Amino acid sequence: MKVKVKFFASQRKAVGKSELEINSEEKITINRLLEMLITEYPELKKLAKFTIVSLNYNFANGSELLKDGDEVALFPPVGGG
Amino acid sequence: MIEITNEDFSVNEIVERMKSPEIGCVVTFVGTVRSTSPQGPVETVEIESYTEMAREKLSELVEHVKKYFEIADVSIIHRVGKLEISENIVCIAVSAVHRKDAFKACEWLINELKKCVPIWKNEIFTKIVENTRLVEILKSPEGSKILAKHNLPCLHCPMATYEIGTLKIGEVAKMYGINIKNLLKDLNKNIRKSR
Repeated sequence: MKVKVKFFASQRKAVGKSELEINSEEKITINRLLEMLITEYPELKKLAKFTIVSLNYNFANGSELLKDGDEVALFPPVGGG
Repeated sequence: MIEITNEDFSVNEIVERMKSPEIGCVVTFVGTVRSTSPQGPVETVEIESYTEMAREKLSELVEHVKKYFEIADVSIIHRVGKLEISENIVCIAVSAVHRKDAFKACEWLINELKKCVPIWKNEIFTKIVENTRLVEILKSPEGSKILAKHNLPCLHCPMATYEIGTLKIGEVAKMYGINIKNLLKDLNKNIRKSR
């Protein structure tokens, strides 16, 4: 299963890249994916409280089970306008 | 029409495009770049978006207002990239037969845009130098505290209120024998820190 992960604003700076691809043999939830990302990019942990997650352009709660081709994004609270 | 763009826009053109014989008004909201924020004087703003999701969310908002308000059409244009002071950031235009729901829908749209559309503003702060006007520094609560800490006298008497608008921090420091280097260092370090 391949999942695309995008990072924006402070989360992009913490990870040092705007996009990456995760390959997983087993089915995982968004929360599990976040744990994996934090292990690889510890800077993300500091931002955990200020991180919003989306799945396929909808706000996610973390319990969603990921499937092949999904797009997940991590970003801070929004503030346009 | 929903657009997220690097280009500036003309509010007049947006309004003209929305006019039709059936409608009686076009209500617009235009957001622009402010030179100050609670954290200090702003030099420029960098706007970033998760464009695909932002478009989706904006479409949902437009669908909602079309369903719940008596309006004809909506245009939303949001800019991204580096913007200077007073440049346009966003335009929301709502056309309707009558104004009441157009105003309501326009206000609802900007409030929701700020809550759920993935767009971020990164303010780039102006470095405070000897020529920075006192009024700019006092707009930040942290700035006022630091000036008080460095014993800048009476900022609230009528004469001071008049002077604040014209005086520069370097002149004030000189006038009262305050060490300008230490003051600037303190201001530049701590105003940003309060973010």
